[in-house]
Amino acid sequence: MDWVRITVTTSQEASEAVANLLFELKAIGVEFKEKKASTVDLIAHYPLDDRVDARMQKLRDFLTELPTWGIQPHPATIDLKHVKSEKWEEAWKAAFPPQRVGKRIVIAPTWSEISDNKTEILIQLDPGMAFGTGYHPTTRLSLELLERTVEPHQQVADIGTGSGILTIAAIKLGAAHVDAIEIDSTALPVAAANFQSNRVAAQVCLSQGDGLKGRANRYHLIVGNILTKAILPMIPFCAQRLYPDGIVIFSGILAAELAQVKSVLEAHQFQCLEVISEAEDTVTWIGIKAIFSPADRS
Amino acid sequence: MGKKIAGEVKLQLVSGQATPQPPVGPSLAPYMINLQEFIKSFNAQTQHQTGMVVTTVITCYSDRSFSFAVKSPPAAVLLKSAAKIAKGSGEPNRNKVAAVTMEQIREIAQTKLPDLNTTDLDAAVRMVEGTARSMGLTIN
Repeated sequence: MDWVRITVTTSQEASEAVANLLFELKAIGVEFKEKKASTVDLIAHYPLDDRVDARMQKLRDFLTELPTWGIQPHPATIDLKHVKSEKWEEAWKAAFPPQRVGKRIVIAPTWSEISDNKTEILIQLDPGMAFGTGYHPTTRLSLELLERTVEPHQQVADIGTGSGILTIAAIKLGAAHVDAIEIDSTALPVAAANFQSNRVAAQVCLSQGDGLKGRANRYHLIVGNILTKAILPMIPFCAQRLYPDGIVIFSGILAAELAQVKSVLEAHQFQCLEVISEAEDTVTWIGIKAIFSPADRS
Repeated sequence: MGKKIAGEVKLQLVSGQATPQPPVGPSLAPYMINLQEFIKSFNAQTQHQTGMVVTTVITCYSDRSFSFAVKSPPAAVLLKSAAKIAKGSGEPNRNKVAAVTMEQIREIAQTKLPDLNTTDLDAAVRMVEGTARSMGLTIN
């Protein structure tokens, strides 16, 4: 079925009244696109049928009447476009092809036909309402560094786990246990479901919390795909909770912030081991790996 | 991770009845988010008010994850509820279908204010008043 898309450009003041008319004319939804100068585009779709002209006439009459009801609709214009029917329910999936990160990690949505094999680390993850879909440079940077760092039997903390992608990778790379910590309550059920579907839940403790505050466990590795403003206050806690020679991996750092992150790490007895980067539009994201080398090694 | 916002989409939709058909499919297509997941979550979150039009704002992030918030219902929905009618008038100038009080108008404007692009209560009241008249409601 093809559609007609009606766009009414009008004032903010008139927007609710016009949207109501679009619903009265049997729209099943209305999009509001707010623009400059207090105007808004109201977009509604209707089946392409013989009622198009009648709907347009009704809209024109309504916009003309609005001032008599105390609403100024100007500037008011109506635009009509023919929209070909598409398989919207399937088309978005094309934006999520399986992708390889590092040498062995493959991230694939559950609908892809990739299956587990012995040479690759498969992370099956459907993009959704938690950060960490695998389609952002900072996630890829963390994964790359994890792949080169995780050793069997390690105790790991994943700060800001989001979808749980880094926790899943750490377990599949050999870590014994991960404390997955997330402050956003909406991400917790997403992460829990992903741990189940990737069969790592038994080795993960998922909890809501603000980083490492109030935690008593000690770790061999702490990973955090979080912004610099969250990384900097986290570093002293990492120094308290890491074993000597423990590792931190952070991404979510902009290139311009790298010197500051390095400086705070060094002030807390970390030595930088590796810095990698990936560009996104006009910015460059940094992933950093550092080792905790305290003078007191107890 | 502090998420980078790729864009926001504001839709008025019927609760519990979102589908990939327009406007949802074409509106969200540029952001390449998991359409199925949004529809499932929106319908689940709004199922208790099925049939009522609500406003939702979907925030799409640069890694193609998303979040959404359900905001206050449209002014017209709140007016119909206040006037206890199912539908506005098809001929609002000639056929008045019900009445609302100025106090009800102010209450609705207050409810809508946090979701409007203004902090001016008088502007919100004017918008609600106009919407009421455009539906064939008289204001007492």
